[in-house]
Amino acid sequence: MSDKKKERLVSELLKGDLPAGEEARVKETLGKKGLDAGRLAEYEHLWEALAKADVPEPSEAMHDGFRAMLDEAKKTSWRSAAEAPATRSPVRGHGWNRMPAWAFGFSLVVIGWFIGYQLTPRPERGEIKALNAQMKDMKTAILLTKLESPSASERLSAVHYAEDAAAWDDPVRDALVRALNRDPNANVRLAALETLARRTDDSRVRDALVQSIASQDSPLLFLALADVMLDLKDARAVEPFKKIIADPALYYAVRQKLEDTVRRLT
Amino acid sequence: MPKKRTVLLAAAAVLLAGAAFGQNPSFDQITVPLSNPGQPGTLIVKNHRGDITVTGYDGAVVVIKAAPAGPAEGANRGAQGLKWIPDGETRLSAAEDNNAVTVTSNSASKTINLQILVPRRFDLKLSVKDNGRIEVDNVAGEMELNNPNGPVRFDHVSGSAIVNTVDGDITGRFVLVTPGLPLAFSSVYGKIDISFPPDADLTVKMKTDEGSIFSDFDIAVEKRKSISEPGEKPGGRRVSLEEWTSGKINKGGTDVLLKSYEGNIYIRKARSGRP
Amino acid sequence: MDTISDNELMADVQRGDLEKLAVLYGKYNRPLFAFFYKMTSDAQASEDLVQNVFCKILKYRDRFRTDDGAFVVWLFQIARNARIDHYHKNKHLQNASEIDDLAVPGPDDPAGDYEKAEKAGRMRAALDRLTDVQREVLILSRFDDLTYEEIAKIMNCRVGTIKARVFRAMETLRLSFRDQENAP
Repeated sequence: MSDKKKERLVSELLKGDLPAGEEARVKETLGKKGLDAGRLAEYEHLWEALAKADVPEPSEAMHDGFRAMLDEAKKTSWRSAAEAPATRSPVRGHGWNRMPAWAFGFSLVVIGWFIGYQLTPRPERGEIKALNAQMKDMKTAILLTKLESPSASERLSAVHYAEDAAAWDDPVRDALVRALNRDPNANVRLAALETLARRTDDSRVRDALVQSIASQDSPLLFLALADVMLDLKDARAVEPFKKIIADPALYYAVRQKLEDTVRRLT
Repeated sequence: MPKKRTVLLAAAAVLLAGAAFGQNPSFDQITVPLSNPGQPGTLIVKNHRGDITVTGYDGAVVVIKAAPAGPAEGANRGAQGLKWIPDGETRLSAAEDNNAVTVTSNSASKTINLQILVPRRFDLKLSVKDNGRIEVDNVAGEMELNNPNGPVRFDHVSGSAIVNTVDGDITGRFVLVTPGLPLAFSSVYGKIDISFPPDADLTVKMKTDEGSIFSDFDIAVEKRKSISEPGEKPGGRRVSLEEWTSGKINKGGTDVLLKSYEGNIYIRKARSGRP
Repeated sequence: MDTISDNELMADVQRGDLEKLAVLYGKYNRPLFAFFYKMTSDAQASEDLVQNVFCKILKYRDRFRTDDGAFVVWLFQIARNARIDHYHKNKHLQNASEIDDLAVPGPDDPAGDYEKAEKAGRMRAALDRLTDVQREVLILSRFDDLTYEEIAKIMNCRVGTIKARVFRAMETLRLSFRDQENAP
């Protein structure tokens, strides 16, 4: 009898999963295979003791707390989770409506300025590009090669290198997106995300970031993508995030962050 | 010149009385010679379930021991005439290709602990799926260590490390950092506690959402400025990737990235010598 | 205990009859508290965690699929994550090996209670020596209302793994008790 089978039988025996007639027979078999009656009796004794382990009565305060929460819920008649206050900070749930007009106006001005700044053509940029074109091609080639290296260190350093403004172009961007979606190492993907996140003026970068949510499985990437999507205020992230949230095995810290993000994006 | 060699499981399990390998009385062992002995090599273990313990030594072959992870520690102590009888089937095997050694085992169906001796100058690519810890000692090379559900610990290493966990602590000590090769340590719940040589030139980038950062180095910290776009709500917490704390240790140079979500980050000056 | 009625109650809650949650509370608050208490030895934290769980049930009530799986499994998945989250927040505060009050008999304890308290203290000490996962699998297994299949879903692994874990945890517990008996 394999060891695994013995363990399984003991566990089933203790739990009472074996049909009544079987128990005696199984005990006898286990005894023959080295798990004698004495040992089994010890297990059974401990199993009983486990159930009896003294647990104090919870206080009335706990029941009162539940009752208060339920009554509050009924009063405000939450129709869905979206209306429920945040578990952590009850104040935040109602914040959106409370922003004063002056802050709203101010933020529009700043956003307007910022957009204007980004859209203004910069002659210097064109000149620098021309001057360094050759250098850049070479750098790009090196970078792309490094991104294929079997060494995660090399790939990571390639991603850091791509942060350099002069090194940015379509092939580099595409390579970073590939890295974000497919690199076997989570740290490299994270670094790729951060480098791409500095280039979100490019709409293709934004598209790629949203699309990459579905190919991630690392909690670290989920968290970092949540930050980026919130920065971008890109509501396209909501559906993919919701799919991730639906996984009951998801780590709680990630769930909380994604739910918060989804809430703030909708 | 590169030869692919597959070395199969030794014929019989090696029985060892008493506490030898962990607490298990029996284990399987393979010795893997290298195509180019004396040259650096790479050790690869992927998707493993169980512990991986790697120790560098002054030798030219790779020695791998594997045993099913038995009952918890102490199970064999004073065994009262009853020994834990292991299943014996680790299906350990190793393939060598031009100094790259890949180790596989039956760990998908049962948790197996690996103890591996490698020549000191070796790169490591180790990933544990769950049920195990990664421990590395006295190795010089590039390490890629992944253990989502467990801790990673390394000591007395030289070179570089890229480490990733979700629910495990990362603890490590370098005696030498290879200039130019970036280091990265990231975790969600785990703490990150790394010791560096006091004279290392590092550029550190650190971020922990819920934890705190501590160091006994003098780090010239530059907080990066975020682009000034206000949030939707005044005073609302705007998390921006620019919120990393970066700084130089000594002259700056090698990039070190340390990121945890809930854990603390500790950057220490390594005390010389073995603990 | 009856899967159908738990799920029906939850369906009512989803439809807006929130008072039905109080029925589920009545049924599960004690077992949940016991679960948390056995894991943490901290009565106050356990109460907070129970509250936390029901708050989440209320908040995420739409996420529960009443036609797919038992309510009790969902309940314990939430409970488990809540405890893990609590553990990580308080790791630096917790000292799991501290024997709680149970082990120290009060001055007016008659001899019989002393023995009981001492025994409970040993169980507590032995439990604390288990890993989190071992302790969790034992506590969940001891709930007669949860089958191994259900526990496997709660702990995100295969049934075979659960049974193996139970065995190993029991063995560790047994040796732990032996150690305590033999200790001077």
